[in-house]
Amino acid sequence: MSTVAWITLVSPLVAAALILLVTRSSKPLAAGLAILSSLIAALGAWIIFTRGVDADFHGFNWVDFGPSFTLPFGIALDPLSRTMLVIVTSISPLVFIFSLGYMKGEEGYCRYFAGLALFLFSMLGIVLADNLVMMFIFWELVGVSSYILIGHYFQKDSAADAAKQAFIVNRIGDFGFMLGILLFWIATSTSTTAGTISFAGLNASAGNINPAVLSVAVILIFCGTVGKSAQFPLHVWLPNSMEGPTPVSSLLHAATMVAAGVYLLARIFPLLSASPEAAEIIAWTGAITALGAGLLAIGQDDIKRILAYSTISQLGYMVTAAGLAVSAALPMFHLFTHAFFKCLLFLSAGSVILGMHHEQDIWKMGGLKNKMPLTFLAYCAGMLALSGCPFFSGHYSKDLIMACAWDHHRGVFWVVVIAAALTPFYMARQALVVFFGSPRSEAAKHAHESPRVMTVPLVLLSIPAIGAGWPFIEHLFFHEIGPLAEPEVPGFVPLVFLGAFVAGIALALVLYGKAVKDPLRIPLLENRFYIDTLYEWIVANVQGGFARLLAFVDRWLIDGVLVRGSATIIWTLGFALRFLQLGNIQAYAFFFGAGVIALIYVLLTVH
Amino acid sequence: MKLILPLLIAIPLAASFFIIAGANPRRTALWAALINLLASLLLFSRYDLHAGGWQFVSEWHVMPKYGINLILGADGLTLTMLLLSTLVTFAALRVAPKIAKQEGLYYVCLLFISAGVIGAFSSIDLLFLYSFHELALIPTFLLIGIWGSGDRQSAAWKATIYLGTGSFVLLIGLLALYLSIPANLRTFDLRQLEQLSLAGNIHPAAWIYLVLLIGFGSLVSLFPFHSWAPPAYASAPAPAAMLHAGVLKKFGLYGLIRIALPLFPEAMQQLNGLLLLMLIGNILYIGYVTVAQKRLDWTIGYSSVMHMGYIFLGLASLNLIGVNGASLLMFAHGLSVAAAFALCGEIRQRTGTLDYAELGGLGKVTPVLGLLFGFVALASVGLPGFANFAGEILVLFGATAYGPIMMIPVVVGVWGVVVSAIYMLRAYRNIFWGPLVSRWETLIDITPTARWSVILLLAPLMIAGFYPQFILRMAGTALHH
Amino acid sequence: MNTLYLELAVVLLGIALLLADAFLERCSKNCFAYLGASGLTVILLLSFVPLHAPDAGSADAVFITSDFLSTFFIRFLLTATIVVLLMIPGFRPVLERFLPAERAGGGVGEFSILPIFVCAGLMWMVSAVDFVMIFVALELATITLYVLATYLRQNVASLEAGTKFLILGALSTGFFVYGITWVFGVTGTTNLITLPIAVSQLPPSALPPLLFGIALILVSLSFKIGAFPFQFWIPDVYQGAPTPVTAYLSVASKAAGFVVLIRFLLSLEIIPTVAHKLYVLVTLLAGLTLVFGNLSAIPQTNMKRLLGYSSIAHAGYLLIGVASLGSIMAIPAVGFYFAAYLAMTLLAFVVLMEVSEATGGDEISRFNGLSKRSPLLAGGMLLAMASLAGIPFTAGFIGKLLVFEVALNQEHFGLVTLGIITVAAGFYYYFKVVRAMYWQQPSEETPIHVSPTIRFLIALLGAGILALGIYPAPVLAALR
Repeated sequence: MSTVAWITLVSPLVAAALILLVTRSSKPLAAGLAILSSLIAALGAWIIFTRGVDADFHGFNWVDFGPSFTLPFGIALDPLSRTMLVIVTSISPLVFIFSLGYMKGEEGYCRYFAGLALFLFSMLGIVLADNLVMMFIFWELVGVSSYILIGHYFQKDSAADAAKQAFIVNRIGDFGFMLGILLFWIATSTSTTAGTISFAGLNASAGNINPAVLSVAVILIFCGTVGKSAQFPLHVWLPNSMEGPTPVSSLLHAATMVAAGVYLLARIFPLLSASPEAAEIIAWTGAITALGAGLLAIGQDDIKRILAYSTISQLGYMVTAAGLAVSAALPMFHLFTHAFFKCLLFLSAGSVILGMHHEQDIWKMGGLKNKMPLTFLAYCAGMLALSGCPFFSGHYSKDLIMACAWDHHRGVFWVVVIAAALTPFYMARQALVVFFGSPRSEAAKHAHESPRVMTVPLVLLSIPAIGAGWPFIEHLFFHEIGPLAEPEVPGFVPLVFLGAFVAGIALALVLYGKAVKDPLRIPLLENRFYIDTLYEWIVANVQGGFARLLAFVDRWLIDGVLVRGSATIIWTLGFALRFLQLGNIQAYAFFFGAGVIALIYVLLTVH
Repeated sequence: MKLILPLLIAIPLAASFFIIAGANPRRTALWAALINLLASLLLFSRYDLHAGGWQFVSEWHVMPKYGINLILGADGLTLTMLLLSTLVTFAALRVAPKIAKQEGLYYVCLLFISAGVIGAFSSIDLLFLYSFHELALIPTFLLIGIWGSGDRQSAAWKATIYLGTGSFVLLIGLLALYLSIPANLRTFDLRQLEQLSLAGNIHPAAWIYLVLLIGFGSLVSLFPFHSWAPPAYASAPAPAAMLHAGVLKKFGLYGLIRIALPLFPEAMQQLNGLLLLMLIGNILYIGYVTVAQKRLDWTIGYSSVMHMGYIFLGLASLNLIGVNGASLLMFAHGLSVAAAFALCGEIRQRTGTLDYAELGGLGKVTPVLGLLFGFVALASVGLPGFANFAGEILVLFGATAYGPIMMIPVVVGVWGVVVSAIYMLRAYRNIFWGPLVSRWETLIDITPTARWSVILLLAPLMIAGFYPQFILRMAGTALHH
Repeated sequence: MNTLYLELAVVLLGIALLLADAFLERCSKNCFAYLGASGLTVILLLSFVPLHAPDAGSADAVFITSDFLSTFFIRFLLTATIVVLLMIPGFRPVLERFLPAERAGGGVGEFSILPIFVCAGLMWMVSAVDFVMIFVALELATITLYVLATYLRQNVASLEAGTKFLILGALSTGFFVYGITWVFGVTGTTNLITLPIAVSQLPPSALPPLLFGIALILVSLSFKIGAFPFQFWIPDVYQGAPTPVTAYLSVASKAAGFVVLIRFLLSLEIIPTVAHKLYVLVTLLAGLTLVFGNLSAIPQTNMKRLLGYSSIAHAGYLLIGVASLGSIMAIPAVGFYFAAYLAMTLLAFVVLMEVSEATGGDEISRFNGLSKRSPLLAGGMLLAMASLAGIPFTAGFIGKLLVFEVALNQEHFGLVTLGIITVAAGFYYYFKVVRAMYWQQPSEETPIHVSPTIRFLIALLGAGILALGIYPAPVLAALR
């Protein structure tokens, strides 16, 4: 079993390396390698899942100073990692294949597939990591692969900036993550035994850690989630990351990578649930993010950015679910369903964009349902699932979260319910504007359905998008992770959820049924609450100004005054001394005499 | 076997004499460097890890009455640094461009620097450790002054006088240490010194440690003794910058590991607060100064100063984890900064400018150069997979283990990783990404020679990144006290 | 072989050569330099024949000692003289330019013979242990040096330099004699061996006059070694005097002065109060000399003046050693420093002589691009400058190392701190020459021809610098 796990983990890395070193020229080979590796990974994952073994496979000691300190490098197989493994590896091949069609004739084809393979490797690393440091390592690698893929069209300023921003914002989150790791390590280390960083060890010792320290540490780790899962206030990078090719947005920035933060929370769930303060903060962060992102989604006109904000919003749900500290399965369940339908939505958006010759403004589209029927159907499946339409996957996972919220945290409950009403609204808005009505541009008139290689993945993804939430599947994937019992809620609560869904759809129909331009323009939303502007200002003026100030100090104070200053003093002294050298003998005789007197004086007076 | 160490020093010197005598400079130098590289690899592989300690020791009497003798020997740390030196030397000589005037002198200078660092690292006698390091002083002066770029003259002056004075301070410190030993036991032999200190026969005063710290510190550009480094590296020709920033600079840290750690345990405890203050200056202050830079060469110059802070943090943590991390980081930083300066030189050769405002979009015309620079940039921002990350994380763990006083340095250190990402990615984005500036459309990509030289530097960096034990188990042999 | 015989041999050699110069018309004028050099070489070799100390009570035992100090410095002086003599043929064009030419090469002979007499005088000086003897030796040396300094009769600069040298020299000699008389008056002896006993029996009331006498003697010794504030003559005289003479002044006569100073201080160690005063004074002199020499060297543009100031600077470093005589390592340190100083200074002067002959001037700017015109000269000068600045693996470094070792040993922290500053300054002004030779472009590309003798000298001195820098043990052994 361990060999299977290792092969699953390493095969994408091998693929990436081979593409980079060998096949930078041959496009089919590059794509083939990437897809092959993803299929191998998928196969391995399903084998592992069906066998259902719980085990820790110790690989080797990455760093080893004997008992005092070791950083092991191992694989942890438990229900959590098995489920996550299946999610990641089942979606990846579809996206990889979809890319064949989408990236056709793009430049940097091989670079693209190398990036994808590297991403898959890193993501699997996160899933399989058995300790915090190893997870951090792959966490960073995921970040860099996302950097490479967002910056795929590096000739575009917007793409270049977006990639840079994504990396740095994630780094800010990882700042907390790293500190959290160190804090856990030192908190668990005693005079006799070295600290632990393995999930097993930490989760076991949750009780022994001083509660205050525990809360701080959990929150620090949570910073990693905030960055990676684009929670408020570090959410700004995800919408910009849409500069990357659409399949990338679909795989990394919707289905899997951004969900890694949630996975991290599920990993340290015992620690999290042991510290209520931390859980509280996490829950609220998620709720606020869910609501805020939902609002922002309304103000967007770019088909992908709308989806991006909806992703942030849904991630908010997952984080809230974790923060409710009910069960590790709760956030994972929504992660599971979301992965499929959001991936599906992005891929269909990609298909639309391709059909529209890379036009992304929804107001330039319209009436595409006849021109791209398959894409349309797939999109509807995804959209209904996301909006929480009954019998679609999203309905089950989201309503479960909200029910638990009612049960555990009333305040959070109301916030997420409002968000739940927003979701169907902006999704319906998008669907109506894109697929219904009449074409609003030349491109829309001549749009065409995408090739097989793209539509087939759409169809395949539609199936889990619809069914992934059904109870028997839920039971199959989650009963081992933790209890997922429907909490006892008063009868009207489910009606509230249904009401929220219907209200959202209805409002959208009213507003956008026949709209040719956006009837409600809300500057606050269109400008993303001015948060991005604020950050830009801070980076440009506060950080920039600080840096310039220090540079000035370094140049003029430390180098100028201290270093060159002292040199100048010495030089000037030397220059001054030269004037004693008058050159005429009388002066020298005089100095001579003075010296004689001084010398005698010293010798007679000194004691 | 034991003859190889003296040979490592002798070969570059011999080569430079051949060059003076009229041999083909480039070819002679390259052969010498290659032989050295292979020889150091041989030693690296032949070191007996189980025995540990000093091996391949050979000794010649120079001033026996003063306890000063030329003693060459190596333990794991030495061999790591020797490997670094010979790797960087070979790469540096290979990337050296066509020299129009006084080609011979150019290569002689480089070879002297190389011989100097090799000698310094393989000397067990403190006085020779010091003396060999000084061999680099005049060559650096000449290299920057004759073949440098930009404001080369003032840069060369500043660096030379600064380093000269700094090393004289260091000499005073060493003498004071020597005199703090009872007259009948006086020696410069590290092995004996360690035994004496273990036996409790010597208790050098704390001020001696301070003098040594300032002396070594100004060689390593420890804040606030750093202002010589950025201009010197910015003006120096690429090979000189590679050798200087990559290898020579590590000498100060090596010296502290060798001398301060075993001989000044109490003093280091006492004065740790001061050291922490200085290294916070390196990481945070210099970090932000780097962010404000507008040219690639200055950015790299300052960033190399900044990263010294992490190595000092490892030393200051005074425990196995931290110091091992520091050693690994010395190796990693040496390779990565050398590669950075190599590529910096390649860009300068092509464009004649390193100003961010004038560059942009080079990734389209020079993809391989861009790819390699990307690797170097990611290495220097401490991305996992490169040894830099392993070193930094060990340093952080070590510092955390030291105790609560380290809280601020650790937080600063982790934040520094963000800062370094800010300036390195900006550099990459401004030079290689964005729309291609029209005047660079005709640029040609990196030559195979330079390409493979950089890969030669990156390969060990990634090997040690994936499997740090490969370096750690060697470097660790120096740190059993 | 007793030192006395060595000195006599030198004098005889000098006289023989003078006669030859007077009577052998046909003999080429250069040959005297070579003859003298080879003669002195023989004597140098003879000096290695094991010495037996003069039997007590014999006449010379009172005046002359053959301790390791005198032996070492006799060899030192012989070597210096040999080198200077070998420089002279290279200097001949200048001589002939500035000498009245009633006959071809007139005066060249004497010019290459007189140094031998200076050498004899200085040899006596370093082995003398009686002030009378010292005084006579000193006069023999200095008077000859006056002649040599003013040798270029038709060169105003040379004459002016000689005059200054003469007047100030006479002044210091006066103080010397006056001081001796005071010391004699108080103690009743002029002998450095008996002085300690005499001094130790003095009543405290007799101290002030004794100190007065000591002060006057120190004045003239300070003049000789060029310690502040008695160093003002040095830059002018060095610049004006013929280059070989300058070289000789800066090495040989300085050394003799130091030896006498050391002997004098050691003889007075017997009474702590006096010794303490003396060491305070010497420390003061050392510090001032260091600062003055190094700092005022910084702005110099003329190579000869620069070397003048650098000789003052090195007097400062040597005085640090003298101020630390309390340490047993002090005399080896000073002795070794001199050995190093000889090699590096003479090498610098040799190259300077060649360059100024090729370019017609002494300014540092004349060295521009020397590395392209003559790698040998440039390399030689580079080595000399590196050694003067104290770069490891050169003699100068070991010298500084030993001096600062004894200084720290005697806890002269003030002097050490000054040392750090002055060493920094040293890097600046010595590297100015390196910059000129290697960075700057030459005014003309024509290569400079270097005569075989000069090549030999450069090789010899360069090898000396490296040898002393890498394997100093033998020289140190000779100093214990």
